[in-house]
Amino acid sequence: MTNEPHMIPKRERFNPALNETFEASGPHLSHLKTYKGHLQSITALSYNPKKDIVATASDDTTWKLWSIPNGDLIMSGEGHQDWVGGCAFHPRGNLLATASGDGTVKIWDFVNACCAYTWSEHGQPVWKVAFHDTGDFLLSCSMDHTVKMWDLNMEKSRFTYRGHVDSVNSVSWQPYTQVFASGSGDKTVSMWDIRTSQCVQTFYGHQNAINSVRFNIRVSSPSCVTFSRREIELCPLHRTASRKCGTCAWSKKRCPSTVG
Amino acid sequence: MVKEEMSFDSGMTSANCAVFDKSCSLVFVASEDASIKIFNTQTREKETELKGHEGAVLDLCWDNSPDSCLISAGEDASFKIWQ
Repeated sequence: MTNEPHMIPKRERFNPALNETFEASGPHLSHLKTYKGHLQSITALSYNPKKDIVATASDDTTWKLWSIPNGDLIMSGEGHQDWVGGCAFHPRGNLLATASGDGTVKIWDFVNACCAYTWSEHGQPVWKVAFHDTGDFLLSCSMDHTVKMWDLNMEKSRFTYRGHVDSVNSVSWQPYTQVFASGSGDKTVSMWDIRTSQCVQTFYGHQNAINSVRFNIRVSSPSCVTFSRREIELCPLHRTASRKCGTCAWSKKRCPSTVG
Repeated sequence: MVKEEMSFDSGMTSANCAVFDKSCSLVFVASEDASIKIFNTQTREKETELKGHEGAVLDLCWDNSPDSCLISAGEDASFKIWQ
């Protein structure tokens, strides 16, 4: 940590997915293998961008790394005091960020097998984390109604995004841009720009809390956000079940942006 | 401006997570009823369900391979690979 803040890029990066064509994964998928390895629910998955490794986060307070497809356990991380609800690999694949019910965000350096940083500014449970494609910034969203952005060079959070009036359950970067989306228990999705630190737009439409916000991998063609919702009647503290549900796709008609 | 483009109803059960496939033609929804529901964004219809988990499905992700394996995880403390 140098305490020199990283520069927020002004322009978007080139999205390699635009040069590729993908075949539809098809509804033809069939079950290949099942791996058990946690004592309680697995709450989140993250696939390593460089190697065939998947990270799992669990209610049993641990995270684990597994090789794919043979499912060998590579590493197990203990240190959180409560459930782990989110995990995300650094774009270079050498760090893992985790979000926990103990109110902390941790960065694990699994090359050196240690917890590199613990950030505990959220006063309440933290649901999910997401790395920016540059690897310089991390977002975390919390039951404290905020999203925080962390700079990997700084001990304190870089910015706190306020606006939601309920728990923020999910956060996701629009690929290769400075924009992210947050989904909340207040039934709205908001888009934020980290260059201005402003909320760009808020989407209304869901009738229940939003569980998850994801972008498709192509940014410039009409880009979509998907999310789902749940009722706010809380079951276990950190996750709610609900009886009604929907998934929406949103599109933004916009010209491809110039690539910096 | 962003507008809602389409909406899928996954029934009387919570959708815990939704991901696009890499071609963006399908949406995979992790459901509280232990299934993974697949919706087609072109036809706007539900294609099928993947069954096998013994509890709510909580998260989904894709691997890096060109033939794209789906990985799902859930309340039954397991994760599954689908190909």
